[in-house]
Amino acid sequence: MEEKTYVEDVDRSIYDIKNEETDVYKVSAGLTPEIVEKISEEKNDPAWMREFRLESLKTYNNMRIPDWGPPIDGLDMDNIVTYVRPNTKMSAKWSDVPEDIKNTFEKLGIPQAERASLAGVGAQFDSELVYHNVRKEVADQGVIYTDLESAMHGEYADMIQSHFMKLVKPNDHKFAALHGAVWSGGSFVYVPPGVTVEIPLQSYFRLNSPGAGQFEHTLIIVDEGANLHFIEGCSAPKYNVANLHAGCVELFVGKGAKLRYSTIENWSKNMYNLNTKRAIVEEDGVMEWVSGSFGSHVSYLYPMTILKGARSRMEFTGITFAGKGQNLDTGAKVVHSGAETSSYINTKSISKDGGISTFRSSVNIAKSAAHAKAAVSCQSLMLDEKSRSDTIPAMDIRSATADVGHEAKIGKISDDAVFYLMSRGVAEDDARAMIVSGFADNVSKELPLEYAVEMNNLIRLEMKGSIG
Amino acid sequence: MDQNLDITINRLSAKTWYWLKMNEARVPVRDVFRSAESVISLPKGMGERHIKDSAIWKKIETGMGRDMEQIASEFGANLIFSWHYEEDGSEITRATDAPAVIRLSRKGNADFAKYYIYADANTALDVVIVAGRAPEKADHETGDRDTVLRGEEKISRILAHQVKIYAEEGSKVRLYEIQLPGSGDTFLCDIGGICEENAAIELTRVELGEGSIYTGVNIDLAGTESRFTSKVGYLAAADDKLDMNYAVRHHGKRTRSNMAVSGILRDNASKIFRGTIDFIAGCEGAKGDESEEVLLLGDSVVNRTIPLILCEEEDVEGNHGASIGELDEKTLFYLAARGISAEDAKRLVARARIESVAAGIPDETVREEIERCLA
Repeated sequence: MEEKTYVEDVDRSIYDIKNEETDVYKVSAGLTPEIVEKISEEKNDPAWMREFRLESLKTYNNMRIPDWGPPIDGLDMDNIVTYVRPNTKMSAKWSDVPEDIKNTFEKLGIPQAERASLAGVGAQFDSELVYHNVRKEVADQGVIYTDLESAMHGEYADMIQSHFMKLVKPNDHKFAALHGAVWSGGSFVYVPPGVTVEIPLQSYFRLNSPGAGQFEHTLIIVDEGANLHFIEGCSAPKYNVANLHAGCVELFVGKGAKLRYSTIENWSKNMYNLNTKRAIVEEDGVMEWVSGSFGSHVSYLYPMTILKGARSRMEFTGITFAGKGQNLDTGAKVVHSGAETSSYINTKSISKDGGISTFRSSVNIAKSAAHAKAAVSCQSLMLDEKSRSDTIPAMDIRSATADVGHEAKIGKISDDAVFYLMSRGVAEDDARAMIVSGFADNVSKELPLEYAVEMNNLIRLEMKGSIG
Repeated sequence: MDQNLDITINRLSAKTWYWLKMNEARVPVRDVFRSAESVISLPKGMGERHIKDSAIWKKIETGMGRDMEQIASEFGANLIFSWHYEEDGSEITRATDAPAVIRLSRKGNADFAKYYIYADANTALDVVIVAGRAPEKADHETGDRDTVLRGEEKISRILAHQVKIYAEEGSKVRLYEIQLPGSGDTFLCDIGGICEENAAIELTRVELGEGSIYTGVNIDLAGTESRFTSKVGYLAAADDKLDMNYAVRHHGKRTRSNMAVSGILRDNASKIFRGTIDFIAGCEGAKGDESEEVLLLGDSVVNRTIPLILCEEEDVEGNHGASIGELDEKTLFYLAARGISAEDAKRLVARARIESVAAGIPDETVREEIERCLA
């Protein structure tokens, strides 16, 4: 039996560690072509990227702020510092990472997890990666796992240029355009044909500066018949000013390839998480998303999958926990264009203590997707009368041979279940926490053990205190 | 006339992505609305008179929203109500078993009618509204309603009507809204209602297409234990467009709603169903169910569905289920084993679905008209 990884009990204070601000370089707040050019210059962008950034900025200025989701009035772009570079160069050894930054990641459990159960780790602090490493045996298989900036100048430059923001175009929405203009950091992964990466790769994003934005770009290409599990983690300490995360994830799943993308997002509760994730899947490919949303003040997060190839498949498993002061708008999107494609979206959401959670989804089945199958199941749990939970699932079916099922349920914790547990000596708070953890097991059973433990701890933490 | 009087109606209760084009419907209007022709037949125990808007009616919101309200405000309404007393002075607690039947038809380019239904406490009344017309007799030669009806006069007109229902304590209103072919190129049916304590509104809606058919329904379950049920059956073929917006708002404690939609899409028909169950804070013990079944029988059909559940109350139960697709193989096999071809089987099932919704209509003539359209 595999050795279990020990993960400390989660205490919110871990995420709330604030490092003293010692960045060497910060652009002034607000967004102008000069700032974008400055970022481009600092990052030593190739010419095409510089152009791309400036074009994206124009697009950004021409697009309107979405009015269909949670309010984002608290976010004043003029006050978000787009680029913060920590006072260090990227390293492949933890010992080279400055003490305070390393300590933060230590407390978050990243190096420990790397030793125990990961094939490679990338750690980003504010706008830049501070650590990137991949196990030798994985690198020997030809797997590339590096930061996107180096990749742009190296052997894979053409691959980056032909894939970067091709799936999520800057005109997709205002914050995709913003990302195109000021993106910084993030990982590039390439898994060659037929290669199976046995243990997961992980990128961990940490936003430390108050009032800063994080705009990392993750580009993953899993070639024909290859197989990868990628884990993404995010956190930030709590400051009184609004922080912004507008990352972008583009995933290319080749013929017969399989990619699992897992995220446990636990940004601090002043974060505006306006993230965009998208995958395109070729013939017989498989895309699996596992997504837990716990942090942030406001979230707009709907990973999208385009099932382009015949018989390609996707599965989305998600959980969202909205507590006090949180307005989390999450869900998934899927487009079926290939024949005999299938998708399954299964989500749970929990609202507590005045939190607002919205499940939003879309299933589009094109005329070309003969015999496509899609199923959506979303369940919401209301933990008190102060909270709110909305379900907004859209379906657009244009193939007569499609088979689509949808079910949505909303309700409260059953008094009978609480009573049952209490009659067996479980205290009421614990009983309710147990029921909520059970409710979330669609996600926890899909996560690697240590993440499942972390998630359950997060739920316990969120449940603690304010009940009764 | 090239005047732009377009209206935006059937707004989704909570907006979503614009690219889906589901947030609302835009209806081209090229002429000023005038009064439609309507013939009202009342049974014993029900009355009717022409009234102007008063506070209570203004309070009732409909499913289509403010643009339609704007048009409606220009018109007086036909108020349908139940008599409390017989001519001999004896009290009537239940109005009648027979329904009021309203025949609605167009005479101009843009016609409008408005009906208010008022149910006194503890009374019950049934109203059937029929728009369009059935063929004189079914064409058994082809069995295709398109060839029967589409060859007729081609009109490019709008027929619109609004129905507001006020159901006092313990009353029950059953509204049957039947749209037959020939109701106009664009047909609008806008309904709103308020249910007080223990009152119920039951809506049966049959849509047989031929044109663009818009339906907006908004029911406020204000009183404790008030109820709303809707049964919708539709059949859309050729280039028909159906656009529906149903919303039920649970305000009162232990309120109940049940919305069931069942339909068939053929040829190039398109349909959007927006359904909202809205649990408003304080509606403890409320329960809402919504279900949808769609049979897709054409290669170019467009079927769009967006079932919302909005919830700001802990102690509620909301469910939604949808199944969209072809006829299941078991049914086809069962029918094939009895010598019925797949094509006939689909026709049979489609017809049965509408018939099961229409079966409850308390007027034989109307039921027969629907039968003839389906034949």
